[in-house]
Amino acid sequence: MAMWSLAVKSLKNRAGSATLTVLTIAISVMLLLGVEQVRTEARTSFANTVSGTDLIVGARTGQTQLLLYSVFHIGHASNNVGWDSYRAIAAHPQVEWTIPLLLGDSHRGFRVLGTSADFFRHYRYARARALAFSAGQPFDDLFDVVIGAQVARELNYQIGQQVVVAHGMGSTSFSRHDDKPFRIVGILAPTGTPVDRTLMVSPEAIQAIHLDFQAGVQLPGQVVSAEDARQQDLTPTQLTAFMVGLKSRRSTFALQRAINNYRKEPLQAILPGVALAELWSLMRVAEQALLVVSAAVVFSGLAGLLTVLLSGLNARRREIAILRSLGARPWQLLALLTFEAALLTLLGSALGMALLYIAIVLGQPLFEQWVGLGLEVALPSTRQWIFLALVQGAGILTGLIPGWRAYRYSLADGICIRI
Amino acid sequence: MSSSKIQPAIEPAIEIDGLGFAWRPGEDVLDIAELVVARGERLFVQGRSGSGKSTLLNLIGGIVLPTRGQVRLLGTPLQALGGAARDRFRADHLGVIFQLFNLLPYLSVLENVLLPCHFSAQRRQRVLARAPSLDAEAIRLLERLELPDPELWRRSVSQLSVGQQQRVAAARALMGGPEIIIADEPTSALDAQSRDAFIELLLQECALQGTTLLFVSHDAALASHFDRTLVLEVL
Repeated sequence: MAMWSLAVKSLKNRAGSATLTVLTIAISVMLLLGVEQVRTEARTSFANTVSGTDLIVGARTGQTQLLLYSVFHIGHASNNVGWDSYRAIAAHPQVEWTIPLLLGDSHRGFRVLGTSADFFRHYRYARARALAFSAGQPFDDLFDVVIGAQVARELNYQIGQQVVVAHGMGSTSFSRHDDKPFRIVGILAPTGTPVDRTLMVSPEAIQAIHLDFQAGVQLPGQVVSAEDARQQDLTPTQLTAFMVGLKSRRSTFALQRAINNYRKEPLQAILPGVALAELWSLMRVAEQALLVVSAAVVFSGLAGLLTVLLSGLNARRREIAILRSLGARPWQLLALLTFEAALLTLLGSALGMALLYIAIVLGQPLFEQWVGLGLEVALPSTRQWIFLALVQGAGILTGLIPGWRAYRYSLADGICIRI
Repeated sequence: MSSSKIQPAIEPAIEIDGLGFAWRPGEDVLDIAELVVARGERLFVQGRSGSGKSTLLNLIGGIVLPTRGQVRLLGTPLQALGGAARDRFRADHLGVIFQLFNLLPYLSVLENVLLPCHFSAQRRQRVLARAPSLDAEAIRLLERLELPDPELWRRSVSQLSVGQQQRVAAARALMGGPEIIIADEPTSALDAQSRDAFIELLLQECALQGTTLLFVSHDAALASHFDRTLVLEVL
């Protein structure tokens, strides 16, 4: 139909302002879709901080608290678990593997985790991804340490370098285990989980550096040298928490109940998936706020569209009268303006998607490294399609405003031009 | 137009009967007791601003309907047609030339002249009945109106002088041979020389096609070019 080709030619004639309008919409659409994608990916990545672990066991506290300190290394355990209890549960016939977690020490602000080699074997994150070494291997000697990707990057550490662990948290801790330095033997590949910010040593190493400590204070005159420590029994007496992998998922609840009713000390077993979902729901407000902000950006983009169309309309009153004199119907003029808005919105959405994909392709390595989110170029999700449809619908509705005014002009001016 | 019985030999081009128009009751802006314009007649409508010129043009164009009386074009009473039919009637049978800014700025000169054929199948067919193509007829009209330069036809209309623009507008109004052309102060932005040249060219081409011309102006000096003059008084 002639009107559509007229609309396109008319837009081409105003290429400058049309391009700017398309760009405004494109950026807002890119932001909206980008935020949605990051949000989805963040949620997935968060939900997959631990995967493949059936239970996390710690001293009895809240479910969220246990998850926070054992997996996210946030806060402290109020109580520890006896090593005997850990060994007893680990020996349960349904248990396939366990990962001990001993926390409490740090290195320049990064947490030190005492754990067994099973950590590297069984710990899973994202969609069942295993830990990988970007250099070196798991610890073997008592004073070996494996460091997370972010630790290595921020402190610029290499394999073979020596590090000293401090007692307690904080980079300015007064009591340092500087008589027992560790040697870096492995650096893990980035995971996007708290593991990146962790230094890992064996449980025995944790025990060794605390031989001459009591109640968190180094005992004067009782210094145990590194060499002496090797001769002693270094089985820890306590641990912070441990992860459990079961032979069969079906026994999860039975074992959880058994652990919760453990006689010798008050213990608690949580399902990581459930606890993670509960924790994420706390962040829903932030998540929604993010969406609201990007929706506001789309709104401002469409407001820009409206401004451009309306401000141009007065100058186009002549055009409207000319078309009217040629036999154009009032609704065709309404359609002309609305079609323009729809076309600009469509072009903006298409460009926005293209920009998003370009940004993902270019930024993917950086994004993965810094935030640990693996964004991928994929067809829009159902939600993203809905967003695109909403933007298009809003664009058409926006176009109805200048369209309606064009309709009114065409009736009021008729075939006489008001100059 | 199957519904309207057009009998060219008999029916006058424009018949106005007891026509009155008021935006608000009791405040007439136009009052014409009787006016009959024959086919091929050239009528000069003279009136100062406020004399209801625009209203008359909108009434003849079928944009608004009279408060009382009636307007018949080519024997068809406009009131009898619905809004869509009136718009189609206008596209088929009416050519309009404005005072200024007649052309769509985003189309070339040639595209502007071809516009009426986009909106009216009847005018398209009329062109193709006597010319090999739409372009050929448009070019013929441009040449008749002393715009013979092919380079100019492709040009953007903004690069044309006002006089050239008005001649392109005349070519567009004549395209597809509409029975009636209404021209609303088309020469008011032209100097005396190009004004007279424009009127002569327009009159020649109208005579050639047998077109009825309704030429509206405030300038009484132009009346001598036309067959008859209608003076509109301010009511």
